[in-house]
Amino acid sequence: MNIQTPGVFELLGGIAYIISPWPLFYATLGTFLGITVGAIPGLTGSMLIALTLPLTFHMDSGHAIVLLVSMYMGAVSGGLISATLLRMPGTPASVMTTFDGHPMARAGKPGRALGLGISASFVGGLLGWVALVVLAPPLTRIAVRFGPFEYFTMTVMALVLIASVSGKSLWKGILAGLLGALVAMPGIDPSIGQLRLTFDRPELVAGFGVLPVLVGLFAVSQVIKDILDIEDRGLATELSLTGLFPRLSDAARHGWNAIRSSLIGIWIGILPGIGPNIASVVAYTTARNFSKHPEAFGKGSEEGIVAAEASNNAAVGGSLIPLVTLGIPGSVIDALLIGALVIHNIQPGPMMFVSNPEMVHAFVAACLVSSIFMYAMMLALVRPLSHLMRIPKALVLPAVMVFCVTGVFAYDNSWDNVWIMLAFGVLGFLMERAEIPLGPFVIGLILAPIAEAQLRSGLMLTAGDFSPILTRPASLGFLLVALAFLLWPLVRARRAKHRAPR
Amino acid sequence: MTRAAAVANLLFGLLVVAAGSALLADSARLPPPRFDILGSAAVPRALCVLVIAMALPLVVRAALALRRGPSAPPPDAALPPRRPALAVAAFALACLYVAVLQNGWLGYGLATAAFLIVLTGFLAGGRPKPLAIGALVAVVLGFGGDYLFTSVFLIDLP
Repeated sequence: MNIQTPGVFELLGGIAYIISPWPLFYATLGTFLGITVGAIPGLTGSMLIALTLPLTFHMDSGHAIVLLVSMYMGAVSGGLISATLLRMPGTPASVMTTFDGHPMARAGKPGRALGLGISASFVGGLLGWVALVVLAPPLTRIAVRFGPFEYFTMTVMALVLIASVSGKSLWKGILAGLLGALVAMPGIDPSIGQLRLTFDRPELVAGFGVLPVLVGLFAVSQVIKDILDIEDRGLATELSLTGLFPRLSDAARHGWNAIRSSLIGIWIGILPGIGPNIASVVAYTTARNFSKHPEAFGKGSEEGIVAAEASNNAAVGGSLIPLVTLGIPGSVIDALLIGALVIHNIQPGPMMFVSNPEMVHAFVAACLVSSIFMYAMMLALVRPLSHLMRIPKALVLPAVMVFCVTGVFAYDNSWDNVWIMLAFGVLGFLMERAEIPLGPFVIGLILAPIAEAQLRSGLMLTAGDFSPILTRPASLGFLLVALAFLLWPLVRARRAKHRAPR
Repeated sequence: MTRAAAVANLLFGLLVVAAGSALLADSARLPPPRFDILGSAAVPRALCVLVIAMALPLVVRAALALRRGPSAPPPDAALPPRRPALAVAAFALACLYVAVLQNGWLGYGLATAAFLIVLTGFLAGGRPKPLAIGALVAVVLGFGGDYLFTSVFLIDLP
């Protein structure tokens, strides 16, 4: 296939897209809302983006992407405020920040802890953006050569990858992924238009909509969980802003750690399905292993804060790479972004560079501008944001529930979808209690229809011959990676058993 | 496994087995493949079999854990207490709110304001300050939301 894809400089030209009033407005709004929601414990970036999806239906597609990507960047960063001041991570990506941010704040240095976290977030965000600009064009050139079997095996690999890292149990991760795939099956078979698994119910003809399922899983289930834990108010510390602004000496002291952690974040972000939460864990562990003072980690280590925050922000740019180039979500929030593209009738993946280049520009520009806005806003607004996170949950949660109901109803004026949302809210809550990870479920939900369509289209081309799955190099490579991730826990357990003292 | 985790695993496993079995039964009505080797039924059937097979061990393990009694230590007494009854009541109230809107018993503004005031009252435990602020938020979100959606976004609300 001979398709012209843009180079790095053409992607950079996309920045011009955002220097116009509406995209700039949405980038500001999205970053602000993301930081705000990230700073309030119990409200997550996934929840904010899931709630905003129905509203974007009525917006210009590019504006919608700018808004959502800015929210993503803002939410990942905003979580560090409550992680540091309340010992409650505002978002899952800021869990590792809690370990050192809060002890530093308790030791009378909250401003310094926040300043380091904000600056590291900025460095990570910028490096993630550089990776997006530099790596997206060559990856797209490779991706356009992929056929149906490569796409099928790649989606299988994505599912196995996220199942293997997103929870304590690989078994539960895979079950969640398969369940998500099964939920995507009812409705019209995308390959031949056959109605299936509808139980003759007209409301199931269109299947379970992505939007009500996502809002239910991420927003409604979170509201139920927050009400259950409504007495948990965290451990508040007083806010002093001394040391908030970084010093020049910090660049020399923490520069290499920030760069190394950002590179880890970018790499983990690129791996399909994983994203910022795991990136911060890996970068934090690496920083501790390389540190001259590993004993300080968990007790208020500046290195720990820098590693966690640089990596989780870098992972945002990294995770947008597989989304833009392959149509595979790099994280759970990216799956929501794919949902937004689908709502706007845009096919994510390499063809987006040709059919909707303005969308690629929107991704690239929003990633950069929201990083810069995030830095400025976090430094300027940290004091009011620290008050905001003390708003009683009794006021926030009912309003979130109203937004869920109104947003899902407004999407297509259907009460069936609202009931589906509530049902998936209960399912999401039950999954969370049973320690079944939501990430693989969402990736299965989004990728299963693509995987099925690609497999069947490949089999039509080969007259039912499955062998290209094993004979095409890229396809075989993806399968081997998936197999390695499936077998690794078994190998690790066996090795641990051998090493254990007898 | 704590008792709560065992119950959650059991409920989730049973739900998955029931849903998987129902979908598997419904897939039997699908026609055989005509245009491709797999047809519409193959992938859903394979997924149903796999999820049932993977959920059954969860059910068995959870049931055994419940019979044996909890193996994990009881929750830390320093942790704040959980409020399951409040969570159930809040969810039931949300269902009632949707039913009220769906059946047109109240308009959007009034139903939303009432829902917000009642739920805030539940969650705030009757404390006057959050309740007063909640009432203000309820009126703004209820009637303001009605105006915003119908007049600005031009979306029909009940």
